[in-house]
Amino acid sequence: MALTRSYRDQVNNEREYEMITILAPETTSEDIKVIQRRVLELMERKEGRLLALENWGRRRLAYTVRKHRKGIYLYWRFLGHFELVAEIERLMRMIEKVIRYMSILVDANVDPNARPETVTDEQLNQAATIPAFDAPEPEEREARPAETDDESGDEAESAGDESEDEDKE
Amino acid sequence: MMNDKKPRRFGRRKVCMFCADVTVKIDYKNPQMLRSFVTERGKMIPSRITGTCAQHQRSLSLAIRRSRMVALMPFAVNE
Repeated sequence: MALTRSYRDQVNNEREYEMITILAPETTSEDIKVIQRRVLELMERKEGRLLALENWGRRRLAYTVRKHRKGIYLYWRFLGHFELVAEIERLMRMIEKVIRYMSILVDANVDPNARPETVTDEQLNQAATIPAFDAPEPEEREARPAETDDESGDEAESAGDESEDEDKE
Repeated sequence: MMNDKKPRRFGRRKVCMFCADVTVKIDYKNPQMLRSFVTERGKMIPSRITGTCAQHQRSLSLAIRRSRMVALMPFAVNE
């Protein structure tokens, strides 16, 4: 592939991107490791560099995405050029476990030396383990109004408690 | 004569929250913060109500739209 880079890019500078991928909730650690390996392979080939990779755990989605109510969030930050982003997005479309992805240009013209961070193997492993963090289960939510119904005597108090709980969520 | 006119403004003028506190960053990854700038239905609140300045309202709306893309915030809440 011909390297047609933007003339706005300064010589030797790279672009910093961040990407969020949402994986299907049943994705296993092995699946995540496979995805990591394939992305890292691409980055090596396209001369990019991974700066950070975080696993935000299994979260409730604000709306259903491909019939999933929950998803595992992966957050990537990397240096590279737009061909790398195009390749990674192509890869994400091919992986069935990825239900949503979004890549965003954080900063154009970044001196690669100004971003010394790299991702260690330990961090990669950590990102592959799915934290036990789970957003409030739907069953809990259904159970709450029933409780407050029982205590209809002191309405004002229970209503106050309820709104507080909602704020925390 | 002047007293016949309806008073146009009362109370304090609203100040842009992001100009007042520079440490607060507008970030699509922080839906908790963005939530105070949308209605319960998930619609963006106009800056004339929140008092956000034009520059910050612009980045705010971009952040909310990005946040919606990755399902951190809802497009619409139907209940």
